[in-house]
Order: sequence, then structure tokens, then C-alpha cells
Amino acid sequence: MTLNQIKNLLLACPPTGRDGGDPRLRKALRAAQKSPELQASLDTQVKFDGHIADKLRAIPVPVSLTADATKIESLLSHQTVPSISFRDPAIISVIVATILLMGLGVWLVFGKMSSFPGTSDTWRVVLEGNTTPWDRLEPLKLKMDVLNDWFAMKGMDQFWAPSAFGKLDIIGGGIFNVSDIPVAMGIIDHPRMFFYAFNGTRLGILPPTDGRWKILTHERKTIGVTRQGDSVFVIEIDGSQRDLQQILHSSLAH
Amino acid sequence: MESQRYMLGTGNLLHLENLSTISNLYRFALVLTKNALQAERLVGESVREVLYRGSGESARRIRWLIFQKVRQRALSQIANEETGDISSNEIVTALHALPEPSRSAMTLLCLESFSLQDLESLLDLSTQELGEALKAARSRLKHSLSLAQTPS
Repeated sequence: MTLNQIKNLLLACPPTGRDGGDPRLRKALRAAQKSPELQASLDTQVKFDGHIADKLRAIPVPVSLTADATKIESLLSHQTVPSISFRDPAIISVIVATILLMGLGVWLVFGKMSSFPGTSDTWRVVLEGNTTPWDRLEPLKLKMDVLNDWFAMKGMDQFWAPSAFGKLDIIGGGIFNVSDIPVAMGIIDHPRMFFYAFNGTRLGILPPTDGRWKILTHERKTIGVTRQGDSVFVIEIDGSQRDLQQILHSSLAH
Repeated sequence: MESQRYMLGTGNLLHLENLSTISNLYRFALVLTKNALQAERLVGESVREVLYRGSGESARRIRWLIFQKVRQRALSQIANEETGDISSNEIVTALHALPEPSRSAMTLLCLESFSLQDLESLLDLSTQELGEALKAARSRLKHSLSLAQTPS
């Protein structure tokens, strides 16, 4: 590590003067301990930043925002995972084996399962939905099986969802357009998913009509696509194909 | 009994941590907008958006996404709207007067919400660029804060 790199890292040292778990900063702090000049400069910086930090923390926060803290709490408490040491040989073996199995699975499964006419347009619909501003979705508290009326009131006829989804709670919905074709979009409360429903024939999206789901993955997103006549229904999760298959087989079977 | 105590402890820690996350989000938004009402709205909207879209993400990633969303929204609003100049808090005024990315870098560093690596990725800066942004921020803040303390 050069002197310039050390100086740059020290400039990003937090007001606590500690490394915050960053190995680069740890090295830079060790180097500073050996150089009276660097240490003096760091001490002045930390003192100044501490003064700013104290003043920032003294800014009162509106009470209304504590409700959001509770929401974050409930979400994070389900997401917190135990820490894993990636230097542990057992963990490394598991990771390597998982990657190999996933590669084999993708190689075996992709060719058979992944494509149908309009696959890329299906992703276009989902990505369009992902960029829909939050305020264009209306909060809802309805079951899926009555959404037909709600979307009809909003000007979109022929909303269709598979009957297995009928009793799921919907907490938000709205309509956006792709190539001037309306797409119904909504948020399913549990299991948390987005759904999209539209006229597949008009968009050239034509998954098979045999009642099965086509499952596709792109980066961290996985979608399931099914069709009845002209109507296409897509569900989207942040997760793997396996996660979605599990949702389709367990949650929706009840 | 042991696991019950552990769960209780973890829950309390999470609660405290998230109250601190919200508080720091609000303070960050306030520095960016210099408008208390706008900051409160930005935090509320960004938290809701990330919570609806963030299912399956890690806690660390969710925190990162919410701060990023607040920053994106605040910067686009500053560019597109006239913001009401409501906050007269000395430190908010001084930090708000800094140019980006110095303003965000200095505020986030002092709020201590992120590791160095997360800070670099959130602001899309290299270590060198982050160091330079912080150096410029401190230099300007020393000047503006000493001016603010000079008796007239």
C-alpha cells in the first residue's frame, strides 16, 4: 500500500476512528500509528468529524417516521442470517458444489424450459413494471378473485388470474402500458410477489396453454408465466427458480 | 430459555438499529433537501418502495437500497424543483451548501451508517475519489462553520 493510498483511506475514516471491519482501513490505521504526522492529521480529522456527527445526531426526527422503523424491523428480522466464515474449508466445499450443481441444472433445464414466443417481451413487461413509480400503484386490500371488477373500473377489461390465486391477498395494484397494450400489475401480500396480467396475443407473448408454468430467471429475478386463451399471467419474485417452484407447489396448492 | 433470551436480545437490537437507520435516513434527507417536510416525505416513500420491492434481499442490502433511493429522489427533486428553504439548522445549512458528492459523502460518513466499501458503492466513487470528496468537504465546512461562529 502506497503512502497516497494510506492517506486516501484515512480521509474516509469514520468519526469513531475505527476501521468498521474494513481490512484496507485497518491497514491504513496501523500505518498511521507508526507515523506521528499521519496520526496527528487523523486525530484532527476525527475530532472535527466527531463535532459534525454530534450536531447531526442532535437533529430531532419526526415521530411519524418511527412507524417506518417498525416496518423495517419486521422485514430485517426475517432477513437476518447468521454470519458465515468464507475461509472455512467446509463452507468453501459447499459453495463450490452448489455452483457446480447450479451450472449443471441450468445446462440441463434451460434448453427445455426457458423459451416460448415472446420470452424477451415478457421480460420487457416485467422490467417496465419494475420501473413503475410507486405512487402509480394504489393501495388495496382485496382478494385476487375480485380484482376483475377493480381492474374493469380502472378501464381494463378481461383481467384473468389462475383460479389457484383466487384467495391471495392483494395489497396494491395499477395499470401501465407496454406498446399501448394495458398491463394490470399488482402486489400479492403473502407470499410476497408481483403479478402482471395482459393480452398476450396482442403483445406477441405466447407461452403454451397447457396450464403449466414457464419459469425464467434473469439476474436475481425469477418469473413464472402461464396463459389461458389470449390472457397471460406472470408472477415475479426476487429469488431463484427453486423458490418460485416451491411457492407454486406449496403455497398455492392450498 | 437460552434461545428465548437470545431472540429477545436480537429483536431489541434490531429495533434500536432500525430506529437509528430511520433517524439517520431522515437526517441525510434533510441535509440533501434542507426541507423538513420534504425530507420526511422522501424517507417515507423510499422506505415503502424498498420494502415492497426488497423481498429476499439481505438486511445490509435493504439498508443500502433505502439510502440510495433517498439520495436518488432527493437529487432529482433538487434538480427539478424549487425547494422551500425551511431548515435553519447550522450544520444542515453548512452540509447542504457542499457540492455533490462531497455533501452525501461527508453526511453519510458522519452518520456512520455504512462500511467504507458500501459507502464507495452507494456513491459510485473509488477510494481516491471518496477521499478527495471528503477532503474538499472538510475544507469548505471548516470555512463555513467558522464564519457561522464569528460574532457580527
